[in-house]
Amino acid sequence: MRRCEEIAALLYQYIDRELSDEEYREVRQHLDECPPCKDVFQLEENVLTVVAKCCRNVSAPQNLIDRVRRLSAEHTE
Amino acid sequence: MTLSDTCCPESTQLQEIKDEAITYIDSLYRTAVRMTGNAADAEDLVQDTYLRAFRSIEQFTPGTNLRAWLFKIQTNSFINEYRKRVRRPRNTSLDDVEEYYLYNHLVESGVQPAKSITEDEILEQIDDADVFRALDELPDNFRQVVLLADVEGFAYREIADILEIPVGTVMSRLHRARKRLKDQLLDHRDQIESGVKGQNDA
Repeated sequence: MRRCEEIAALLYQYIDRELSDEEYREVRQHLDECPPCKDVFQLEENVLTVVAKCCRNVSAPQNLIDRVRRLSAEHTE
Repeated sequence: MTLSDTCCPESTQLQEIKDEAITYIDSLYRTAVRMTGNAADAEDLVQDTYLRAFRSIEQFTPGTNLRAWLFKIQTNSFINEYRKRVRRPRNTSLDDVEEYYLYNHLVESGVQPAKSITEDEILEQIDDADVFRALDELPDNFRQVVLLADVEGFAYREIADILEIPVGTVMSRLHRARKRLKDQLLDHRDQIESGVKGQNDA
């Protein structure tokens, strides 16, 4: 089994789903067996979730959407 | 293969691509707001992005990632047009910032604070303004990768294509930017804890 430091180095690639299936399984297994590592990974994921959630609350104003629709129509003719 | 090489009725296909492009306006706008720092400039940047996209829509290859194509146009507009026009005193590296934060963190906390509240409780107390402040303080090129990866969900390879940088650079910027964001939110924890302590003392 990989050591905690090696697993920690894969933290972001794991969170970003950028690992191979085999590496992903290895990290998953380590986290299931190592509560301290699991806490570290969980905190990272939670922080990123908070960041994503609050940024995604922002929507384009209706007048901008209307202007872009008009641009689209102009470029059709 | 570009649109002009296809056999389908061109105007219908062009219109479909433009209609799909407009469905990504929320993504482009929220990214533009965080990059420019204000709604008016963000609206201008997004409108300019669509104008450029519609003008060169025939260069878009059907079947490839339209959303990533739009982000690439917007990123180029931001760097080449907006940034040149609006100069803000911003860092382009995280070195100074990190040292400054580490220093502040050590000075302010004195000793490692006791873990009196859980991290989940801290996260519940962090509001949008805290997150936006932390993001705004990142240098442009670091904030950009966080927005593309964590908010918009692009893969490393897609971000590398949008920003025209190597995948390794995407990963290292993401790593440092996220570390910095987390440090700032932990800094926020110290404030919450001292607030909790203050209340307990009273």
